[in-house]
Amino acid sequence: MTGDRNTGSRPDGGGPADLAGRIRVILERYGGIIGRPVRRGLDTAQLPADQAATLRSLAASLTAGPDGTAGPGGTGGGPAGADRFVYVIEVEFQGGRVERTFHEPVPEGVRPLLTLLSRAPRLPARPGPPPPSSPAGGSPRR
Amino acid sequence: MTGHRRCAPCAVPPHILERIARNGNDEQRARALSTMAQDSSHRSVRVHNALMRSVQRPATPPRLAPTSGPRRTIGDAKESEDLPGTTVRAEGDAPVADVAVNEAYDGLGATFAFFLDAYGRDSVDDDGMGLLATVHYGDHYENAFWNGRQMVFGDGDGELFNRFTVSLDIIGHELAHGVTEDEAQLMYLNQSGALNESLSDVFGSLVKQHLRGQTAEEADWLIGEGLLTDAVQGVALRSMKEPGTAYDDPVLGDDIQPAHMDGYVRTTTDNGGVHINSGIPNKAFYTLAVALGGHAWERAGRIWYEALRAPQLRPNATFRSFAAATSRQAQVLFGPEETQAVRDAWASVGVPV
Repeated sequence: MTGDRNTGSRPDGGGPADLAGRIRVILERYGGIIGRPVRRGLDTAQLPADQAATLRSLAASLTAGPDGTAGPGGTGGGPAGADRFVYVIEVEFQGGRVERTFHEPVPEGVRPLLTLLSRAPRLPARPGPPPPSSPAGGSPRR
Repeated sequence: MTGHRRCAPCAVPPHILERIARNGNDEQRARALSTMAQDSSHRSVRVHNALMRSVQRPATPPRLAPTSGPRRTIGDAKESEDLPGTTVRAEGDAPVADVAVNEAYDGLGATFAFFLDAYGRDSVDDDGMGLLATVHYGDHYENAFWNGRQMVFGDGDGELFNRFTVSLDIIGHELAHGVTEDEAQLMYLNQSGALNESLSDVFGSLVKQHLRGQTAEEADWLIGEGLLTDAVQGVALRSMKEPGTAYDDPVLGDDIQPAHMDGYVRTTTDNGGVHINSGIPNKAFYTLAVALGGHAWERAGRIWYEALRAPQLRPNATFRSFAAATSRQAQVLFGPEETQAVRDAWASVGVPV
């Protein structure tokens, strides 16, 4: 494991994330022997109050700290082995969003949120154009 | 595994070191370059050992008699993510009531027997390494993986995926990752990563064909046969015969594996699409196997296996460099007919040799 990689962005230039209002948490899972991305998500606006509170609490552990670095560390590099999952968790809140990438085995502190999101409804694949193809005989850019 | 690969510097994969060397600050770059230099020296030892093996290798596949046969241990994680879990069946033990345990035990045995019978290989490291697998990993975990030391199998969600021990080719696939790691350490990224995945599909499928005694024409060439539940519109995770046709399901999506370089997918996900672009070398292998006919492990598989072991194969190998390695091995091991068939197979997927 190679440590943290926080890809979070804060339009407000930093400061603790404001999770008191509506938040949306999206899990994208890549890799695995299947190789298919899976996208799931939860929105506090669509949850009962107690479940919304649980989601806020778990999301707060991910976004803690002024620059997001105080939460459980994201893991940017791949571990040894093959066919492991890579998880990208995105927390959208009023005034910003934080995105963290975790390679298996994920840190203990992230597991409760991951477990919750793994049971969330599936979402459509991330919008955007299909991946481009290279010409015959080409090779991917490294 | 050989001892020199257990060193601490090797814990960081080469592609990560390269990334740090490229993007890190001066101190990080210096440390990464130092580690890469050490790793290169380890590679030199591996190349030397491979050369020695090739010199000592007889013209026909060796039929080694391992001192003790497979040494299997099956652990039960009991839906946790703790590895290796509680040992529930060890070598020589009678079958237990848990079908996943028995499938893992039998699958490891079939994979061990395949590599020994077909290529004289004594386990993952060709030195009698014990085979460890853990079943019931995680909560409805939809995956199987190789963690660098052992195989791990989830139970699936029960909605789209059955338990991952249900497919012998998946068990063979995971164990083959250990063989590839031992022989070539192919970087798990882009084309070398797709080759890594393809080699696991190739040997995973050959394990199944070997157990069933099937010829190339008789085999189904499916990876993950039986893994998808009846709720999924599909037959498997991948088809080596017809990449891109294994499933087309409203929930799971459609199989987007290409069968030709024209369809090579550039993506940043899945380590550069290692499970997607593996369709291209998979199709090349299938094409060769059918062209040569008979048992695919005898000629096509042997060529692929020896190409994997060739000292010229670099961790950052491309489809083209691996294709060249297979062509060389076909020439060395067999003759002009097989060599031309190898070149034709690669040409058919847009990879010139």
